[in-house]
Amino acid sequence: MRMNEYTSKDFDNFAEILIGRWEFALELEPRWDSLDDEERIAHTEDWPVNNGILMDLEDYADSHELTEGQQVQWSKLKDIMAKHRKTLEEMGYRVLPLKEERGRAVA
Amino acid sequence: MPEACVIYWGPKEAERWIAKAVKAERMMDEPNKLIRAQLDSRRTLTPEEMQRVLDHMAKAPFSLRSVSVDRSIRGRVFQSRILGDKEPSIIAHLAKRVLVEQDWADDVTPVEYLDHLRSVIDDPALRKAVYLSKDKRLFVGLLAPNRIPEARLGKNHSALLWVVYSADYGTIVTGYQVRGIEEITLPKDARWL
Repeated sequence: MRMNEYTSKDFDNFAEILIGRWEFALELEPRWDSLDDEERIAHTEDWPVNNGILMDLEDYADSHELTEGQQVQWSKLKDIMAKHRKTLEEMGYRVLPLKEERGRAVA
Repeated sequence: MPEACVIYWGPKEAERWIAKAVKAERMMDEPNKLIRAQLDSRRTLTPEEMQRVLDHMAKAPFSLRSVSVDRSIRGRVFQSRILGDKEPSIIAHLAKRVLVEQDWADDVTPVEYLDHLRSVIDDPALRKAVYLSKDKRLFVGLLAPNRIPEARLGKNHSALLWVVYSADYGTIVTGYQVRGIEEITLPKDARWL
């Protein structure tokens, strides 16, 4: 349970953060095998924080009308996730799929 | 010395060799062996064995390695230091928890952060999961209600604490707040103890 109210400003902030984290993980991919084992662990085991960030963004997007800027960021994030989720999973990240895909998986 | 006998070892090779030696030594630790045995669902720890495992994890240090700092906070001041590209793991993680996710208070020190993470071990509601990562690294995940004093929390705090212990390295590798178990996305074959 998130303990405080999630605002429009939070959405802007965390959408940008999550896009940045996806981009950074993808930048690591070409040199992933040369990274030290403990550094890889630090990245992969910390990733689920981003699953929580994603869930908050989804909840906000489902219950609010997004501004034009927010829609652009949200689409950008969903696009990166759709294109690159498999890449991150192959690296060992445990990525939570988007809500629509989670629903499909359950059904 | 004949030329063929000269082997150049740079600092990176030396660091890797030391890490492997440390890992091999720590894998010999009895509690880590007990954790590994938990991958076999037919094996259940006795209460005494479980207590030894918990005591061992309660004393575990945070990983000592330097790791990449979250890109969004590189160059920012965090507790009187300017964050570089790489920092000791506990600094990199705590800075993320404080500056980005804002679930810990600004002035929580690394010692305090580690105390908060270790405190889950004494929690009566503690849940423990043993799992292997994709590249076969062995971890124990510890999940407990977040009982950190309110004054030490940031504005985005959540209801639960999740702490990850590496049985390969004998260290805590991360710890953060989660609002529910679904965020953690454990491998399907993870075993809850």
